[in-house]
Amino acid sequence: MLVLSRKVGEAIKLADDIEITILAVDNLRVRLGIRAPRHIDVRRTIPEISMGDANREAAVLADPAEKDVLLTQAASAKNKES
Amino acid sequence: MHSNLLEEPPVDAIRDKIIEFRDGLPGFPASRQFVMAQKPDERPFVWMHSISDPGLAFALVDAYAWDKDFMLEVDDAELEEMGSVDPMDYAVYFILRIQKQNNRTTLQAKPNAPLLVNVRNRQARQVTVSLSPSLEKTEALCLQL
Repeated sequence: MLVLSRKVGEAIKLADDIEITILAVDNLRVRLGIRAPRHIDVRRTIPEISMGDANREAAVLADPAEKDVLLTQAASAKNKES
Repeated sequence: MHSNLLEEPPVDAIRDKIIEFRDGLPGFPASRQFVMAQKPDERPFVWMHSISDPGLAFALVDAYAWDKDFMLEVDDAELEEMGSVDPMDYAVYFILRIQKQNNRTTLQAKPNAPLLVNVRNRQARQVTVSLSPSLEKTEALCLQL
C-alpha cells in the first residue's frame, strides 16, 4: 500500500485519467472528489464490506409461517410501548 | 447543502410495490429488486422480499416510528443521484436484526446504515451515517417479543 498525505485542495492522479481531490476534512470525515471516465466503477469499499456483513447478519431466511406473525407481534409490542 | 429528513414519510406509496437498489444491496449484489410487503397490523414494520431470491427477506421498520428523535442528515448530492432533493419524497427504514434466545425474540435496528427509498421513482439505497451519541441511543433501543 502506498501511503501519502495531501492538503485540502490538493489531488492525486492515478494513471492518466483518474484524479482524486481532497475537498474537505473535518474530524473523522474526509470528502473526496473523484474525476474518472464513466467506465471506472467507483465503490465505497470499506462501509460496503461492513454494511454487507451487517446485512447478511440481518437477512431472514426463516420459514413463511414464522415470517407471517413476527412483524405483527413486533407492531403490537411497539404500539404498547408508546 | 444537507437535507434533514424529518417528516413522517409517505409510506403508503410503496406498500406492495417493487423498489430497486440500482447499486445492489451491500452483501447481496445479485438482489436489486425487492417488494415492500406490509399488512395493516404490521405497521410500522415492513418485510422487504427479494424478487430474485424468494427465500430472502429483511425485516424493516420505519426509522421515525422506531425512534421519534431520529434525524438523518443526507448530502443533497446523494439525494440528487436518487432522483429528488425533496425530503418529503423519501421513506427511511432501519434493517432489523432478529435474535432468538431462550424463546425470546429481540429486534434491534442498525441506525448507522439506514435504507433510503424515493417513494416517487422507487429507487432505494443504503447509506452510511457516522455514529453519533444520538445514533448510539437509537442502536440501544431493542424490542423484545
